[in-house]
Amino acid sequence: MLETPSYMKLLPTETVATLGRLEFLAKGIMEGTISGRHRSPHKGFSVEFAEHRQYVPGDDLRNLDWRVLGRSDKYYIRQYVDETNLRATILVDASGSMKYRGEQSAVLDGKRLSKFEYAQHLAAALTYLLIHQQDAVGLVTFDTELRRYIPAKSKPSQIRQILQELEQTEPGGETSIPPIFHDIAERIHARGVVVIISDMFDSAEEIIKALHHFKYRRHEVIVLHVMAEEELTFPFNSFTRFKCLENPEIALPIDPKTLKAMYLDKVSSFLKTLENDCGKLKIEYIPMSTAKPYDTALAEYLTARRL
Amino acid sequence: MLFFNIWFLLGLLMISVPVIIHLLNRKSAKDVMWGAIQFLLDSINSRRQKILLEEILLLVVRCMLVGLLALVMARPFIPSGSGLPWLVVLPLGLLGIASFAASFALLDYPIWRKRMIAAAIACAILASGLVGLQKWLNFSIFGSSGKRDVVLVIDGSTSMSRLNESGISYFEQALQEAMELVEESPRGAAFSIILGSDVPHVLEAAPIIEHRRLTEKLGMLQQPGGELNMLDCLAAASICLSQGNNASKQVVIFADEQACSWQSSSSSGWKMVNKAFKKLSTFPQVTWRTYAVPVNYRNVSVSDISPSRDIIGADRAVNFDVTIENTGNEAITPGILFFEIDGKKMTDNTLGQLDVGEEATVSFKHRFLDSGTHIAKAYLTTTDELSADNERQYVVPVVNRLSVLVVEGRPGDNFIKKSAGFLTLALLPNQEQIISMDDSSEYLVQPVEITSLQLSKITDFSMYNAVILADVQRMPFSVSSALASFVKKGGGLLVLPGEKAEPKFYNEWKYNDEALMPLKLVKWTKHYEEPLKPALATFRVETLARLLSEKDNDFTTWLIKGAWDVDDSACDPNKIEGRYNSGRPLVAVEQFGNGKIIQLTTPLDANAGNIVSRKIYVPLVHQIVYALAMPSRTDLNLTSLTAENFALSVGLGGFENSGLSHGLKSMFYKSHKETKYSLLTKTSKSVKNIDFDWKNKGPKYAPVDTFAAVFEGIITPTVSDEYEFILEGDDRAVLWLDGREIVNLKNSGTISGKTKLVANKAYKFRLKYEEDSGSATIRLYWQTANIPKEIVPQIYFSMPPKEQKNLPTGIKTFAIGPNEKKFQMSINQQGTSLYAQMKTPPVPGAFKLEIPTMFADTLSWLFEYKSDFIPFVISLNKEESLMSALSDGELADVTKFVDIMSTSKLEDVKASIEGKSFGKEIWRFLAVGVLFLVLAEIVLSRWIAVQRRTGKEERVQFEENAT
Repeated sequence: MLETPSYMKLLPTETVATLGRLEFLAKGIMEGTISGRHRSPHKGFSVEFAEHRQYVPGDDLRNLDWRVLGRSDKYYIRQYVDETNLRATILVDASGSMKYRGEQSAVLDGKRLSKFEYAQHLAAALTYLLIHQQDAVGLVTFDTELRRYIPAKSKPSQIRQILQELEQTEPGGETSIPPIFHDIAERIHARGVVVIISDMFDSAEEIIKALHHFKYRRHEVIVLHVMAEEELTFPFNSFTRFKCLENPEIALPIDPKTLKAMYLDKVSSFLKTLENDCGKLKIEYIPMSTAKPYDTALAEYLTARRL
Repeated sequence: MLFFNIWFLLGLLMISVPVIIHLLNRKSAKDVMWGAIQFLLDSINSRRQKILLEEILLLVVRCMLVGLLALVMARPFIPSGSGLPWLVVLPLGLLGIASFAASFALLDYPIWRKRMIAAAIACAILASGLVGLQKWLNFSIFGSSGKRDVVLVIDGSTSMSRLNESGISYFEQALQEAMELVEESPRGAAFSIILGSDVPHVLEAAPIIEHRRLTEKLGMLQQPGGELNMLDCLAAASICLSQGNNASKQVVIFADEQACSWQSSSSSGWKMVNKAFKKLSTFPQVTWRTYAVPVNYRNVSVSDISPSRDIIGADRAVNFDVTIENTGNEAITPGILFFEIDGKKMTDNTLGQLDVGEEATVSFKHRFLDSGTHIAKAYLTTTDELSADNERQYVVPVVNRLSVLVVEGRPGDNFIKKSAGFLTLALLPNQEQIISMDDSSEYLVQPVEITSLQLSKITDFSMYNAVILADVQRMPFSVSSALASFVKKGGGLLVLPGEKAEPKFYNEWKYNDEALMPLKLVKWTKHYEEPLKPALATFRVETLARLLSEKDNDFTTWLIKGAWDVDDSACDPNKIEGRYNSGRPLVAVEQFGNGKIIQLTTPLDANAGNIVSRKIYVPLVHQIVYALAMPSRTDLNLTSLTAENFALSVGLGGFENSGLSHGLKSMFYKSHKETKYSLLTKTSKSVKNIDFDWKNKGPKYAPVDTFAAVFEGIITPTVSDEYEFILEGDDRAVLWLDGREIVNLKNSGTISGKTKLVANKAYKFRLKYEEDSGSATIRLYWQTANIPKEIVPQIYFSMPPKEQKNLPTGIKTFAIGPNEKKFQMSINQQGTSLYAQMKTPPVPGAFKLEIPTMFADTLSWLFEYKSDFIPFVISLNKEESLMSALSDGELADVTKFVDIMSTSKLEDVKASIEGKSFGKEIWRFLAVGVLFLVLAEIVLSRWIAVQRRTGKEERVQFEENAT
């Protein structure tokens, strides 16, 4: 019996089960090389056999090559030229602020999830889903710099690659979102989907400008804004020394009561700005509190997306 | 500022509680790893100032609250006369607390924090330093060792003679209480005793600690009466206290609440008391044991005795108006009023019930038969609260006949035209008595009429009281000098210049360079068409005041047809006592030496106007003569104030009359060789003229050789001319006139010098003579074109009035006062007046002053009839009879300068001696502050909570944004 590799932790059975039925359908028109479920900008219907690909459970049986099955007892899917595929790149924020755990986040395996862990799971699930749809998925981890860029591929082995990378990534370092975005926007050639999983703790203005860049490159951008409950309620009462997760030298000993109102106001206005501006840019903005189990949240989102 | 419960000040440590809470909060800080640091940073930046302010405010208010509470519990008070205003210490303390609190709110701002701590420490040190200093200054106030100096001021005023419920006088009660206080006082307490009256009687000046001696002294005290002068008593108390050795000082007053004693309106007086108290080692504590003023107070007093005339002679009867006043606060019936004089007793039964404050006057008529001083006594026999004021005495000086010399300037004319005819008639109606000077004459004024010719023979006017010159033209120099000298010595002169008067004489009439006439005659003017009239409003003569105020007087119908135009440019306008309706002077009065000169500008005869036919003529003439002729007006009816030093005779000189004498003052000196001459006093005397031949010797008491002499005086020639002065002598002499050297004899022999002299001018004369050896002579001659050479005659020399030789310190004598007590007195000569001083403190009552023989002649006219002492009376001030209590406002005026604790309980006084202090408690004031702070804290925290939205559970809108 094979040992489950550690990275598979990121894809617990329940998640897989939950995600089984879901599809990640790209909103926009995708450019792709392999015919998938996504509409292609190319008009016409040329049903030309391109190549086989290994059958993965969950694939649509319509495209199963029965002949090959009959011949070799192997399951293969026929991929046609005109099926375009999604090319998605998942941007995962690995900065120090994502380390925040809190007491109210969802529990997994008896442990409360930090924002990063939440993000990891989200990214894993999405990766799985997309690969399963024969879409290409890439990964970017970043903090102040681009840590790792795995270009989007649809090979099944991509799951392993991405999950491995996710598992090895230790969040830390400071946040610097806008430059990264600009960089990625340049690197990704073809139109695709950009999924940003981050707490977005940077200048809203700069972030929006960077998101603009993505839209300019005609990507579909989805922002999964991950935040902890505490960051939204600021439930501190007694004197606290707030230590910055990104810069250990910053420590703020304050009486939280004196700042609560102002803090909440500031967070609120930040969120509003993001929301509004994302709306203007036709960027999907999904707020996700770590209190809600990620699979539920993701499922809800995907369901809503389908509609 | 001091504290009753000073240990409660430890409660100030409680201000650390809010601070500690604050610190503990900070200490218990939990560490939280936080991601959204940016938002926090932003929040901090936006709210930094506000947060700080809120923190500081809260902490400060809380700390101050606790601090004030601790202060209130410590019961602070301001001890009397606190020199360190609590207005400084209290805010300092609060400021210190505030800074201390603030410093903890500023833990994150080191610089400010350090400043606050520094401020807090500074305030704390300053405040506690001030309190400590004050405590040290007042330290024995807290010590119950009782080592203090106490002055007992006992009110001996007449009002204290009222009886209390137990039937003894308040004075007695005060004495008993004072004795009790001394007996029960702690061991180290030293006491002085002051008996309060018009003048404080200091019985024990330096505080003593032998309590037995003190109680003995207290037991022997007699009530002096009079009015309590609190200011003087306290001033005396400060002197007593300054002689004490203890650090703690106190004044205990046993007095009733009578307002007049306190003189609360005299802020300058109280300021001085405050100053005197401040000079002591500690500001004394003043405790006042009060005796209540009765609510129902029955009292009637004889408030005044007043004769109907100023100048009372033996010529006719005089009325005495006795005023009775109800000085209580209930109606009272005075009963029978008695009036005793010259052994005669008169009664009056007419007095009915008097309402509160009502007065009634009863008149008694009496005729004196003898001159001298007489005593009148009026008294009631009613029983009322205060018996001392039911009696009053009055000293009446009765004068002898006044001898007046009337000089007729128009002797040859008929009666109507005579100037003095009507005058003499007015002064003495009976013709026959004009010439004779019969002792049994009934009339006060005895006029003697002479003609101006007869005048020239008179050289001595001292037998007369006054001289009247009625239209006298002029008189010889010798007469005018003698007359001037008479006035100088105290005589009166009335000058009535008519048409005949010679301006030159009057205007140039001088005595020792002093002009006699205040107004210079210029021209006799006739006013037939439009006669002049006197302007009533301008008449200020006080002697005429009574006369002119009488109804129906016809003074203003006096028409003046002839008067002198005068030059009053050199005259002091105050000397002009009356004017015509034209504004020109009518009468001027001049004080000349000890006497008086009244100069009119029109004669009081039929030639110049119609005055002689006016009704007012006779009284007018009499009044003027009285004004001139009275010997010094001495009032022997005194109050305690005036009794300390009062005049017996004004201007009559002492026992040595001053006056003009002809001659020169001479002074002899031992040796002219020394740089400073040493005077041989025994040889100083007056000399007639300079005509000496001492042969080979010298004057008595002077050495034979090398002596010197100086002759000084005044020379007044009668003729203007060029005078040649000749000095003949051995060895040397120099003559100066008015400081100028005229003749200088340098060697034995003769020498002369010339100078021009003006008639009737007084020149300062000085001649210095020096003898070496051998014969000693000196002679001064003069000659002019008209005067052959002669030794300068004595008559032209005069000496300035001798400086009054003051008696060294006063002649000791005594006066017998009430209860046959002897009062030490002394008689002093001041200038030309004699004064009597009371050495023993005065009390109200009648006194007989014993006169030493050397004054007998001068003062004999004041002696009581048929005796050889002078009576005087010290009367009670009417205020003393009124028992008006000291009002709160008046007490407040006093306590501004001296803090007084008043109590009606002896126990409180005893407690204060033992050091149980008191002062103005301010805890109430502070308690209000505490309340205010509590409210402030509540409001502040509420407001801050609202601002911070600490109550609400909030969550930022998030998932609702899901698209």
